[in-house]
Amino acid sequence: MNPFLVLGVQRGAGDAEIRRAYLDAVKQAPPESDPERFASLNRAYEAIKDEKSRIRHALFGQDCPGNSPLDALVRHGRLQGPPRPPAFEAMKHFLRKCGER
Amino acid sequence: MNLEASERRIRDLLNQQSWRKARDEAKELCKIDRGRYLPLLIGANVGLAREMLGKKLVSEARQVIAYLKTLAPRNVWEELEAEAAMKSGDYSAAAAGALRVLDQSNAAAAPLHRTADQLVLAFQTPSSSASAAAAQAAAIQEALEAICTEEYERAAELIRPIPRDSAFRHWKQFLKGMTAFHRGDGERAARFLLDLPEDSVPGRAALPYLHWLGKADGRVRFEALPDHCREFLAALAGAAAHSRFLVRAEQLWMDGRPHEMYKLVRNGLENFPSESLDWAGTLADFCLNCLFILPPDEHGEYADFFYGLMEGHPTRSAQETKMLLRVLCLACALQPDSMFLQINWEKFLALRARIDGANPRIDSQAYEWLGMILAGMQPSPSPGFMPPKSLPRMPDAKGAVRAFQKSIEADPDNLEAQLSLAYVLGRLKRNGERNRLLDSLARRFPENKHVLFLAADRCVARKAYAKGLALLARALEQDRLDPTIPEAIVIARYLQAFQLFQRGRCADARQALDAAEALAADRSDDFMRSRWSILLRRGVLERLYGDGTCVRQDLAQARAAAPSLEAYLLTGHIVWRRYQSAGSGPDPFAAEFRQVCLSRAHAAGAVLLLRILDFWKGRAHAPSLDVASGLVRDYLKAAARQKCTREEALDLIARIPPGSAHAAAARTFIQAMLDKDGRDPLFRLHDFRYRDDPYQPVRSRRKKLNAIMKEAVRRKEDQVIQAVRHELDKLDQLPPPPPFDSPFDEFEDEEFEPQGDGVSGIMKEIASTLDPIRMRNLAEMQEMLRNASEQEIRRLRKTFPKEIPLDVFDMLLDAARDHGPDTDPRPDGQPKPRRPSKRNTAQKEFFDL
Repeated sequence: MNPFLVLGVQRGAGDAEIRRAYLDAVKQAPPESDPERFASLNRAYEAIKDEKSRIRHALFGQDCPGNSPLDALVRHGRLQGPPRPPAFEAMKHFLRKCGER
Repeated sequence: MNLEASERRIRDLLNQQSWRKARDEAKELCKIDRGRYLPLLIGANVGLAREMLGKKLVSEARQVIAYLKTLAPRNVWEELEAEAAMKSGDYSAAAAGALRVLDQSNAAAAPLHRTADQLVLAFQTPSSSASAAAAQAAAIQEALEAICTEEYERAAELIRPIPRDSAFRHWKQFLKGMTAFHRGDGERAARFLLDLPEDSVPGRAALPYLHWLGKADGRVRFEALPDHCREFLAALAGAAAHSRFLVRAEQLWMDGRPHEMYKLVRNGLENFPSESLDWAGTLADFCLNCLFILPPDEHGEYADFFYGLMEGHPTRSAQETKMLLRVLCLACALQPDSMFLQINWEKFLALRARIDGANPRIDSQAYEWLGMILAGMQPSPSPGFMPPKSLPRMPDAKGAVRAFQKSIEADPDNLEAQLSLAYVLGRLKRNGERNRLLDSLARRFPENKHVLFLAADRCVARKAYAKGLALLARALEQDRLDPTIPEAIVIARYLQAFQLFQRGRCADARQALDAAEALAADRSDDFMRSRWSILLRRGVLERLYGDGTCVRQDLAQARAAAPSLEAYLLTGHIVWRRYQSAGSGPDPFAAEFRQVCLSRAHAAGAVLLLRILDFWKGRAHAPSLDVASGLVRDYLKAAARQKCTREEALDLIARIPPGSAHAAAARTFIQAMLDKDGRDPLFRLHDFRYRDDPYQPVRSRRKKLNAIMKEAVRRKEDQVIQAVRHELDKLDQLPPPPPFDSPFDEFEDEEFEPQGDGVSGIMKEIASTLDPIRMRNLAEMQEMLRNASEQEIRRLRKTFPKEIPLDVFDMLLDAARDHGPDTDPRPDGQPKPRRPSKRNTAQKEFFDL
């Protein structure tokens, strides 16, 4: 997954901003309570922690953000926090579809 | 007519959901006894109606329901009628019908839930109704609306009055799960949603939520989600407006049509491909980078599609061209095409500069990468045999030099590019350029240990010892704990002393050796820096080139400090050969080694000698080790005649890989240990490894390993069990051995099937075709071969009748040995000592060549 998304920083962010975002995120997901998230934060930080890493990521990054287009979107969505509920009409449509055996 | 049999068949048909057949047969039975068989007829019709509704055949279902009305009580067909109304989009009728069913208290539990689902999904509650079911359904619907407008508290208030035993309890649970989900409490949401029955509407509606939370284990897999769940997931991800085409893209990807997926996404999104951090950017990332996760055949097709997109048709934007070029070049790096890479990577960099602005540091890193790829400095994932310790192939060395030069030009501070350039220049034997580059780097990066070390190494290589030592001293200042630097200094001092002695500057040479001694290591098994090693070199150099006054003292001290006399003499011999000149005279160390050491050889001493030999192998300034290797071989032979402990034997065997020059000695030690305990699984495994013959059938090799495994399991020797398992795995992965030109080719027809394993099976097959007298002769011959000594076999081989080819003799010998000690251990557990087969030995040598 895109390390900028994982750490929640903009592409133009500097070293200090990235480090701050990393430390804040680690505080919320310490390794003992959420080792998976902690590992992904570490990977993301290592990928963009300084200018050289960021250049390398921009030039040679080959990470595929998911196993399928929709999986990529879901993974992207998970990083944005809890999603907003859909519109009531969309919900009605979805539930009625679920009712069709 | 057997009524009971007919009834059983109808029940079977109902269980198999063959509703029509069941209905037709039940009709016949009802004509005989309506009261008894009517429930079967009703069941068949209900099933048929449900199946039709499931297939959206509403009008056909209505006909069945109309028929049911003539047979069944109201509660049976009313629920179906409500469902039919729902399917036809008549929500008010569906709601009214469902409510009527729910108001009846005698309905069964499952249909009650289904009807409750229908009432909720109708999203219309008759205003006239004052029943509890109507109130609960209305509460559920309002709560759903409240959640959709993020009024979570209100939703909770609305569903609170719904009792635990209500037909709507799954909906209440689903709404609680939804609330927790949208409030960010994933654990709580998963708890509620996972408890829902999978076949209920809320249970099915929970699927996208569970997949989002990554908690859908055991439920429908992500790839198998129905389209409406995929659309809902896309909507949750914030792409509600594009959910339809995203579902289509997902399906194309699942169908293995990535290029069509790309086209669809490209046409569906206005700003595709974007580098933004929103979902569209992530989707663009996926569409491009999925190239790297595709299986090889699809990878090629997708790359070709990208290439065609750039070449054949105009791309949508410069941004798309830039992104395609990057991905194509990265993909090409796996199997570098120098010309393609250079042209397209430069195009990419030019476009990148135009779109994002020039940045020399990016250019420098980009060219450095190109150089590394062209120099083969990255591990190539392409399959192929690469001999161990060999240098990687350089796809385009000159192109690599140019790329590194461009990289350095763009950013002169790019140290990695400069070190890589130095490496490539070295590989191209352009040593002058490399030395100048390293010298300039040492000036430019005076505090970089690695640079100083490399520059020093080149100075020492060109015999500029003073300069090299100065650089090493600076490197040591940077890191006093790195043991490679003092070792490098000591080596440089030895070389310097040798050069000075050769030039007759003995005093300066002694000073150099004194400086080396200052860095002496305490460990006596450090064969480069230990005090005895330094003194030994000093003694040898003094004897060969010095005045010889202090030779005796130096050598005596070295001899006393050495870990053993054998180690001292072997090292002395190697050092002598290193420094000797034409008029040096005979080597005193080798002579003394032969005189003194062979008579007192022992396994532990042999281990130390092997370590010394290993230490010198591959050293840059090592002399020829042929004589030293011969000395060690003689020592090993002598040691094999002495007693040794199990540990000593193991230590020794660990230092001698199978197939190496000293493998014969290792086999002697193994045999000695097997003579003590013929069933010892560890030494049997070593025996297998040292004698393993690739021409033996895999089955017989596996048989031997299984026998060893059995014993290891009995003795609970876990490490041996693991090692045998590893050997068995290797056997499983073995390709078939190269064809062997057997004189028995005529047997290789389809009808010939050997009766046993390999050679022995063939021999049995031959024997079965012979008359009894010849068969007895053959058996006697095998018996004789089995019991013959090595010398007798050699003699027999020479005197064997000329009309019988030697290969047949060897096959007889192998067949005799197939019944040898490994496959048929003697009752006392002592295996008969094995003899190596001559044919096998010859093949092995050929194979090794």
